[in-house]
Formats: sequence, structure tokens, C-alpha cells
Amino acid sequence: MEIQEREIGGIKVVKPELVRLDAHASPEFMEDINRVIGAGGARLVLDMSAMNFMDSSGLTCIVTVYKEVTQAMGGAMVVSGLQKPLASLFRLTKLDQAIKCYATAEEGAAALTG
Amino acid sequence: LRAAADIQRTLLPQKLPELKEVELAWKFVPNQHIGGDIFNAFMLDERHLVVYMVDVSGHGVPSGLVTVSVHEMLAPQSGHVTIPDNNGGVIPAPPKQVLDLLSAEYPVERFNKTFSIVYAVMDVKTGKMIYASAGHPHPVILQKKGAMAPLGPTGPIIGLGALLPFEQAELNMELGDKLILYTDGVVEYENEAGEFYGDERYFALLMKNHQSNLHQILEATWQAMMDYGAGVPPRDDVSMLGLEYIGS
Repeated sequence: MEIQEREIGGIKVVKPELVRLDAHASPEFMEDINRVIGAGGARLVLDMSAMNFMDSSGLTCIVTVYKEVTQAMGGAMVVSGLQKPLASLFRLTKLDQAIKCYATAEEGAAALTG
Repeated sequence: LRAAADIQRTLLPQKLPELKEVELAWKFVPNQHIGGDIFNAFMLDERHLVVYMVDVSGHGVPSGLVTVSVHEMLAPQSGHVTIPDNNGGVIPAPPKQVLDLLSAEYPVERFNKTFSIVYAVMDVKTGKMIYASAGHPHPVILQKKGAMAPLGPTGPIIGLGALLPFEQAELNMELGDKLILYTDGVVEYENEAGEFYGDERYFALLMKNHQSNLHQILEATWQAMMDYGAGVPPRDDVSMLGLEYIGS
């Protein structure tokens, strides 16, 4: 799986080029995302704009990454670019109340900078 | 794998309570691997019915083992679904408390799994139900008068730990009202083109069949899914559990 990495104002933005995060894709997603998260104290925007489907395994990946970054590593993480199906899933699971969601990676990075 | 799949099947209700106040029905179609769905319905005492449905993330043996563990946690004899009353007996634990316990026991880092759950306690004498729904597809209430309403979530998916609180909500079921619980295997059933059966089709089907009995509604749902997908086997477990309040 390809992951685009860039920086906006000193904030790391990672964008998995993955349309479907499901049970099949989850192991590779976790392996690849862990490689790019970086060291402790990371401030991270997870740009999910390429994704239009996520099942419960995918959701578990996002929860795991969020807890790794914010709790185990003492950093901060937001997500950006949720397409409609993912936005619905985040609402249903109330993940949108635990993880801040922004329309664009730029807005997410700005929120982490402030 | 086959042994694990067999274990999952043994966790499904072997026999539903036979009640004069409430009718119950269920349908379960496993996916080709081991899924993470379980559900149950049992009487805690002479007037309190517990129904729940769980969908553990992922497939395979690890998901199956978590379903076994959750099933044990929610067993009537476990001590987790009751609390002491003032007379030396026990009363049903509030659904919020049950979910708080599950949340504490199953943080994502423990088993690398999350799960959704609907857990409800119904007083069969009055029709009053207290429920908590954590990240689970909206249960649907089908009222006898023809209205339909999905019940919203009262808490986050289990696995977040203490990040968000759990709440519970009340529902007063009138005679003839039905409640349908289901897992995402229903609405995320895909045809060969990868298109979902979806909420809209499902809710329209429920409305169309709201006067049918529970068994007919669950079978009609499965038939409609198979028609939509031209018989393509489900990629996820498909679970449905319905109850109808019929009074005494």
C-alpha cells in the first residue's frame, strides 16, 4: 500500500492511497502506517480522503493508531477528508467525538499547530 | 477453523425464552470464515428480558475467541449483568453499567479488536425497555401504527477505553410494536458489482413488511438480500434478532 507523506507547517500529514480499508487490507495498513508514524510526540494528520469504505476491522486500525499516537507516544492526531460513508461510520461509532475530524489536511494541520 | 466456527454457533441461542408477553425470532447466516457476531435473549427474572447483539471486528479465530469471552461476560450467571437489590436478591444491571464494564475489559490494545453492541433490558409486564447501543447499526422500532424509527447510538464502539462516556436510553413499547436488531452484515451485503444492499432498501423492506410476523420479516429480509445479490454468499456474518411486544 502506498502512503503519501508530506508536512504542513511542521505537522506530518500521511495519506494512505487506499480505497477500501477492510479485514483484508488491515494487516498491511497497520504495518505501513506504523512505519511512517515516526517517533514519540508525533503530531499527525491522517488524511483519509482516498478511502470510501471501511469495515469494523478498518475502524479497529484507526482506533489503534489513534491510541498509539496519543496515549503510547504522547502525541496528537486528527483525521481529514472523510468521504460520506466514512463520515457516517464515524458518527455511528461516535469516533467523530473522540477523534477530531476536518474537511482538509490543511485545516487539520492548522488545528494541531494552534 | 471448523472447531472455532462450531463454537461460534453454539453461542447462538439454543432455545429462545417462550413468553406470553414477548415474541422472539432470530436468523443467522455465517460467512465462509469465522465471523464475530453473537446475540442472545434470556430472562434474568420473571419480568426482565435481556437481549443483546455483538459484532466483533474482523474474522477468524482471534475474533471468534473474543466473541466467546464476551458471551461469557454477558451470561446471566456471570454476575456482570445483575446488581444486588436491597432484599438480598439481584436486579438487572443498567445497560450503561454493562457497557462501561465491557469498555474497561476490552480496550483495543488488549486483543486488537473493537466491537459494537446493543444491550437492552425489557420489563415484559410494562413494555418499558432500557437500552444502550455502542457503535452498532441502528436497531429499528416498527410501530404497530406503521411508523418506523431507527434508535440512535448512546455510546461509542467498544475498544476506545475511557475516551467517551456511555449513556442509556428508554423506549416504551406498545402492544404490537416490534424491535429489530441486526449487524452490518445485512446493510453491507454486497452484490457482485460491490454495491451494498444498504440502509435505504432495508428500511423500505421493513416498512413494507411491518404487519408481517417476525419470522416472516427476517426471512423476507434474507430473501431480499439474496435477490439483490443474485445469491452471492455474504462476506460477513448476517445476524437478525426481532422481538414483538404482544402483552399478556
